[in-house]
Amino acid sequence: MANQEQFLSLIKQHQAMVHKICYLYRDSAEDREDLFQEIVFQLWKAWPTFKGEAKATTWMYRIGLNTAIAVYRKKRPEIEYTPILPDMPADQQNEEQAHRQAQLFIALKQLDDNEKAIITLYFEEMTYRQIAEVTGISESNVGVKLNRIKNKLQKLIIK
Amino acid sequence: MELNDLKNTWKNVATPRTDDAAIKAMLSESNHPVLKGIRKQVVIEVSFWAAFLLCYYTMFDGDTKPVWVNAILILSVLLPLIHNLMGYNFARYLVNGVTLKASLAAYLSNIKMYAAVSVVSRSLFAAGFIVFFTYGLAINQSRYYALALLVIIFAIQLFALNRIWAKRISNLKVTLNNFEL
Repeated sequence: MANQEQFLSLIKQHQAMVHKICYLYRDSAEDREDLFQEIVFQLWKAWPTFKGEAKATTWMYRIGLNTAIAVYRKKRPEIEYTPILPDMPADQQNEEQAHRQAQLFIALKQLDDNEKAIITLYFEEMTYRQIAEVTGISESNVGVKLNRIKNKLQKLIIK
Repeated sequence: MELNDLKNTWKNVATPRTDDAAIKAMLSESNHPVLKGIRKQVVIEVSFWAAFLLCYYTMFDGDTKPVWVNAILILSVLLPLIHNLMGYNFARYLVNGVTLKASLAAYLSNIKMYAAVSVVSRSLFAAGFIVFFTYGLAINQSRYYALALLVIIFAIQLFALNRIWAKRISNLKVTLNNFEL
């Protein structure tokens, strides 16, 4: 039970991170809720194997991104992106902030699944080494990929 | 917008809060939507096939057919059930590896195996069914057409099933290969 309490406290502390993964990999509110539940469930299943050698957030990112990529996505109609992030109380965001976030997500959603994973880790201030450890690719490959992603994002946002 | 601006925007994304009780409920298998769906399907299929196996022997002349024909029918009914149980276990543990790439590779390998079992069990189910119901039957023209129609229906189902799996496997392969490009 103490184990469960510890786990719940970890999720409570870092749930924003799981929600961001859901935004990035799913388009509809229903799909995001399903993915959130699936990630929490997979984290709980993997919890006994978490020995604390890595940072909890690194471990959570690995499981969360893995789940988001692996879980089957139901075919849904094309989504039209609005300037305000869905599921968010409008008063929590000022117009400028909302516009920036919408721009960012419109661009991020056009990346491949693996690029989304790498840029997410970069945004969370992970070093190339940490990104390499989470993804399983070499540090030099992380650098190459990040450069490509940065260029892609800049083009997408300027466009 | 510069990359650092993007990073700041990312950090400031407002996210909804899921309450503690809801998160706690998510830990239970009984509340998991996919697992719940599989359990429901298994219960329905087990009930249906148990009822079928209880009465097929007299209703569909199982008593007049050789033991091996009966055994084929029973096996062909059991295979899809075993497949569903495999699916249940498969959906419980998606993550299996120390890195994202290793875990996705393991998942891909599992999904290939699961897809093969899915297609093979469905094929054997169709074949077993046809063998049982046509054994000892005098095939005239109308029965021949009915049988041909049945074979076509099963073939279309198998084709569709195969395509669904092939697409899913191919998407995962692309994602995995992209990590190295």
